[in-house]
This record gives sequence, C-alpha cells and structure tokens, in this order.
Amino acid sequence: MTIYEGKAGIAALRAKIKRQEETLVREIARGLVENLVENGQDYIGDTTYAGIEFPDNDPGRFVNSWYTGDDVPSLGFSRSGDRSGIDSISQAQFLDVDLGKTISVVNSTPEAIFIESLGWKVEDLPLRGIVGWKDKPAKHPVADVAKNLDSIITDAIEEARKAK
Amino acid sequence: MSQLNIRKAFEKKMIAFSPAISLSFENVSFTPASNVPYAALTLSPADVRNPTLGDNYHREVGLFQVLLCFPIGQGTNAVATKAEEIKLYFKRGTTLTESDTVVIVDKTPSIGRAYVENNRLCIPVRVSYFTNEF
Repeated sequence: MTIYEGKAGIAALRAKIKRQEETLVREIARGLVENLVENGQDYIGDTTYAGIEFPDNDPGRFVNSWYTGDDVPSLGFSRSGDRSGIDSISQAQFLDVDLGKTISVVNSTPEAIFIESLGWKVEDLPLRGIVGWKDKPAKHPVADVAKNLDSIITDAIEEARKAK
Repeated sequence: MSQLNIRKAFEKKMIAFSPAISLSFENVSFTPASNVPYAALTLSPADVRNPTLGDNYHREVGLFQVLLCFPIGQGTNAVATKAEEIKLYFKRGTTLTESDTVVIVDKTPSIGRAYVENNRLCIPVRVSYFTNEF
C-alpha cells in the first residue's frame, strides 16, 4: 500500500488520479473504436457498400474512418481504406485527453448512414433488381457496439487501475 | 527524421524475424504467392506529444501493425500461432535503435480479430511504441 503524506503526498496522489482518469478516458475510446472497427469488418468488401453506391470507395474506408477527438466532432474522412482499421485504432489509443472535454467518435463517410441505419433497398434503385441485386439491410454496427459498453468500460477501469 | 527511423527500425526487425515470412511493405508493389502466408507492415503514427514547454523535446507515439494473412480454408491454428510469435517478438520493453532514434515498445502487443480479405484469413498484431526526440 502506498502512503501519501503532507503536501507532496497530496500532489502525488492528485497526479496519480489524473493519470488514472486520463487512462480511463483513453481506454474507453480505444475499446469503443476497436469494437466499431471489428464489428465493421464483417461487411467490408460487400459490393453493396463499397463498390456500387460509392464506386470510388476503397474497401475498408468505413472501418478506417473512425475519428476520435475532443469537443468538436471531426467531419473529415481523408484516410485511405484499410480493412484492419489501424488508423482509427491508433488515433483513439493515443488520444491526448483533456479532462473536462467531451470525447467524440465520428464516422463521416457517406456510406456510414447506410450501413448503420438505412441499408439499401432494391425499390430505391430498380435497375439493381434486374441484374439480381438484392436488398441489403442496415447492419447497425454502432447500435451493436453500444450493447457492449458495459464490458468496454469494465475493461477500461481495469487498465486505469494499473496507471501509476 | 524520426518517422523514417521508426519505420526502418520496425521493418528491419521484421526482416530479421525467424523463421522468415514473406513481407509486404507500405507503398511497395507486392503480389503474394498463392498458398503462401505473408505479413503486411503498416506504421500508423498518432498525434505527437509535447509533454514539456521546451522547444525541441517531443514524443512520437503510434502503432506498428503486422497484418498476418494466411491462405483461407486451412483453419486458424497456423495464423494464430504466428500471431502469438509476433506478439512475443515485440514484447513490452523491446527497444529498437535506428540512427539516433530509440523506439520503445511500451505495451504488450495486442492481437485483433481475424477477418477475411482477398481470399486470406488475416489477423492484425498491433505494437504500441514511443520515441523521445530531443
């Protein structure tokens, strides 16, 4: 057990708590983005999402375009496609935490809204039906990850406890 | 020059990996031989840290990823075993030196979920690093 005594002790304790808080925020962001990336990998390369509606898309752009930042959500999506989502994870893992600010995790690719909530319907694009294209439902990666929030936070608390 | 050195340090370490595995480097044309495993290397630097107020000192941080891609339809054992080997190869505390840059692996590497890409089963191993630049 560590004993904190006097002014210096209190300062050291404060610093430790700050480090733990920062670690907690960073680990939640990392866990969240890692889950979002891995959840999105199931339908990468599905031509419905990557090649037909948005022919210029790199397969993997969706999973590699999770932007983590504070206060102001990033609306950019300039990263190249990478199915492993490495850039999304890297940014979240090394988030420069400013305690007191809101953390945002945003995906602004045009396909995100279709993947999360709209899906693609033949009736919207009748010609697709003629060539045998089928309805594709939305996959709800964000909603699915939201169901895992408890475990993401629990894991983050474990990591934060280790911060010295 | 630190980014150059960081990349070089990791790539050299992977070239020295034994038993050797076919490597795909960023922005270098690569055609994988059929039925032969390979590893795609990616450096993903994160925002630079400025822990102090001085002019020069800063810390480069980021992830180096070894994406192991094995022929599909052969189960997960071989690729998962290789992932564990890479994880151990870059164990926490591993120090790489390139020119005047010292790269330190500050966390135990993490192995991501397997997924299928281009008829391969791929598993990412992510290595977290930092360097102190003065």
